[in-house]
Amino acid sequence: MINLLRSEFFKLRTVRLNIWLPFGAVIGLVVITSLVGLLASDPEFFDNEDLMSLIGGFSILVAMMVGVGTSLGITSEFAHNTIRPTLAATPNRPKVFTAKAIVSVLFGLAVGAVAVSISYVVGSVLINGRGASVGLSGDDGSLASFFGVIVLAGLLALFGFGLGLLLRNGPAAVSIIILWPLLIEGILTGVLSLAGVDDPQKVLPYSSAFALVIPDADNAPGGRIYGGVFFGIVSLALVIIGIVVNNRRDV
Amino acid sequence: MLVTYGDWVIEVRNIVKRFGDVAAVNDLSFSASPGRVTGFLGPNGSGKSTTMRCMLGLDLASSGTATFGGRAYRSIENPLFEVGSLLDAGYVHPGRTGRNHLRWMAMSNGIDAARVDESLALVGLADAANRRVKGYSLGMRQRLGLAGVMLGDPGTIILDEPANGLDPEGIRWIRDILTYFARAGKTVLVSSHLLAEMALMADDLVVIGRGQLIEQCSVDEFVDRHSNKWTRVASPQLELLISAVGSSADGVTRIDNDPTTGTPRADIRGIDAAAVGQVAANNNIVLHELATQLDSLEAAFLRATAGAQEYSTTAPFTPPLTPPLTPPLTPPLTEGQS
Repeated sequence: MINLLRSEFFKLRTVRLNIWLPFGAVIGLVVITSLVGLLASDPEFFDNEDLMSLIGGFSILVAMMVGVGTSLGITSEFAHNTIRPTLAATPNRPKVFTAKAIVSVLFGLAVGAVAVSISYVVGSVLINGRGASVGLSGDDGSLASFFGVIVLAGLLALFGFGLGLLLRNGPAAVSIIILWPLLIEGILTGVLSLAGVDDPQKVLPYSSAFALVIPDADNAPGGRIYGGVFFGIVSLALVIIGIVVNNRRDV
Repeated sequence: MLVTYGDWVIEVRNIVKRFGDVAAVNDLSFSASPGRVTGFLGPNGSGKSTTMRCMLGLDLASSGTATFGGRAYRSIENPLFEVGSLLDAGYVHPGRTGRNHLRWMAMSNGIDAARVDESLALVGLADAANRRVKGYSLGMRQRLGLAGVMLGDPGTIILDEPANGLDPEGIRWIRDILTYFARAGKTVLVSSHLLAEMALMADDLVVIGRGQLIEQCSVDEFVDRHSNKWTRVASPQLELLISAVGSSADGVTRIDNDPTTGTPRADIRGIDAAAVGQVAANNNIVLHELATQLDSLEAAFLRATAGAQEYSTTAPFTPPLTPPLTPPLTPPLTEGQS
């Protein structure tokens, strides 16, 4: 399994798109945080929660780009038929797809960690230089939100990989990753509210997962842990279904 | 130094592969032996590539088995050490360099990284190793695929149309290396449409049509069984010889005189070379040429598969009487284009 993990990680980092897509999103997050740190009015009133709300909110886009990257990683294997030499080199399909899933999650966690760390350091240095006193604290949820960004990126990496494995179609997988939270769950929230469901976001995995990156997660339906676990189970289910289906399909 | 590769017999038994109602491969059984190049022949759409994919577990056979040394491919832990395969040289990510393509393959099976550069040098791609594959010509991709086959020095080699896109030097190289592998004790199964090449390289043939086995035998047996056979003679006393052979022959066709000596020649059917020689000797007829002639493997193949062509033309191709007046719309490809 170690050989396979090394091989899959090598494949991931030797395709430029897999690096530039999340790297670009990280740069974007750092730029936004820097601009807010430089231009925010009344910086002395800026607190821990404000900074992590800013970073957490925009880190959702970074996590989505990670998901897009991992979904394109697996769908491009099918599009270019490189899945055939992959499975010819290692015919144990569940093992191959499990290794790919693990590498995807580790990649997502790494990108999330880099994104939140750099943007937090840059943002806090700039805003503190203008008279604020921002730090990370376990009391106001900023520390939990900091780690939540990393976890969300890892989970969206898994989600993107699972969708890509199941659909084998890059444009379809990317569309769903982007449109699911923006459109599908938005519509479902409205429909479920009209149907009288209390806290409809609680049954919507993507929306629930956003609680991971909100400092004030107590006000989110279900809370931080619930949101992460729910989305994690959905993502894992997608991967497992993808592995089972692909174990029985021609490639 | 020759390495012993063990008893890597390829056994395909009763493989059936259906796509909906269509049986692409239908109860196909054959075997390939160590130390021999086995050619896998069949018309377009006959099921060769599907069979190879089923053998490697890429397509799931509806029924039947394929084993390598008694084991199914999907049960082999690190197959690059045991079975090297190249089904299509295009199965490479275009954004990855040639070296990196081989490196992930090597890593997946725990093959030493140094072997990557050795394999690239073996196929003549050392200088292009760090170029992205999208800049490779088809021939270069074939060579890269063959480098992948050689990575683990496997005892069994399966290639689907390996000479596609190769230049004459490359075709000769692939023939020589596959023959070398077989002489070293490896089992080589290779499909190709280049029948002249197959005639030079293969020891045995597996011929299929419409997904079913037509014949498995040696190349010589196949050609012998499906060829027309006749005797070619060249003699300054040709007419005397023809009259002496007389009714023993089924037919005589006079052909062009020998281009070098100008000696009259003829093809005689229904009587073998030994009998013609005896007749000539009995009648003191001088012979400049006496040879048994056989159809080519191509002719034998076309005859054997005549009833199993999935796609065939309705009329023979007739070349135009005059060359086309307009230049081609696209320029010819140069090295590095694909």
